[in-house]
Amino acid sequence: MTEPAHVCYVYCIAPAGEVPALDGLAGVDPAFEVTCVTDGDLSAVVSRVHTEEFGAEALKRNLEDLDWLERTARAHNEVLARMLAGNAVVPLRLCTIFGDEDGVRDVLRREREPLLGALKRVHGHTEWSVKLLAEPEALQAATHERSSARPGADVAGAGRAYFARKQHERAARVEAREMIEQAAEETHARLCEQATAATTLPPQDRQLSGRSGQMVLNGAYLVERSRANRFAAVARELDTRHHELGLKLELSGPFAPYNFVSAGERPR
Amino acid sequence: MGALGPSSSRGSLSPAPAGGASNLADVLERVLDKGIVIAGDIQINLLDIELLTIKLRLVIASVDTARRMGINWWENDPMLAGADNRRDHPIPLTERVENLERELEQRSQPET
Repeated sequence: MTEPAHVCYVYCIAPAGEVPALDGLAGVDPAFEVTCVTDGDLSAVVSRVHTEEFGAEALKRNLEDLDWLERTARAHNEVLARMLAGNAVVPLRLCTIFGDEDGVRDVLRREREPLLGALKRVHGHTEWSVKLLAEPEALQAATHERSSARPGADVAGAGRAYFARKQHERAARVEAREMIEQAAEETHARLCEQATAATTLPPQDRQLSGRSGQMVLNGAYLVERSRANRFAAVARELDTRHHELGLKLELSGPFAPYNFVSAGERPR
Repeated sequence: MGALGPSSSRGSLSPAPAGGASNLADVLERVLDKGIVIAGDIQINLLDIELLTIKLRLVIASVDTARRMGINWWENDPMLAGADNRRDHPIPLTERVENLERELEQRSQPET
């Protein structure tokens, strides 16, 4: 029996009748547009994809190809970004694929309760990302400032002066690091106050993210739409407050609530 | 100076910019690792994807680090240079990582 030429790629789930217009938006396979499959009160946002690119064997190969992965991931995320025009969306992981639309309807029926639950949790919210980056030069400057501000070691010889200075520098470094950790904790705590739910992600690899500095906080926050401005204002305030420590705060979003739709996520 | 604001160049809190403007790391750590997991008809081993995420970080870290150290043999390698070649003969990540690790190790040997 030959394999079907196409299969059905699913991006996300939304309440039926609340899917924003996605006119002509190309899917992860640019040959096909994104459409909707509905069953009862749930809609799945889907697109056809060629089996020779998205079938089991092909996926094994393509997922290892960085260029393919980047293209696909960005196209997937673009669909989710468009869904933010609606009020609630539950993103699915990359490459959730069904044989055909009937298969998609089956899963909407089968998973109705958990999907409705997830939609309810994220309704009226978007996800925001806040990262804190510690610039090494700034940390060094802060360290130097602190160590030279200490009472000069009243020492006789150059050797002892050297060791005394080294000791002070080390203490200053430890102190600066502690202050940075404290700043990261405070930042997360203040932002949690503005969010319905929050979680922290592992720091991103420097080369992958293209950012300089050490990432000391990678937070994701589920924020009510009406509170988004307040959230951003608090983030800006925190950014200003932590400047002198050489910390840079990055706010990005809104994202679809990727981090807040699995049953097991930590609230706050 | 803080880099505040959505990842697009627009300063307002408007809907997300086009996928291309977003940082790839931000996209990947969401679409690969997060979202609801529903078992589709095409089974992907999630463990493979987690390994992929790790490999991805390692490869990209290695490639960029290597490039900064002046190693860029792959840019002139006919097998690797050029999108068409890459599509026809994608080098598996594991092999790429091994090649880069070997090269980096050689490079990091102190010069005598």
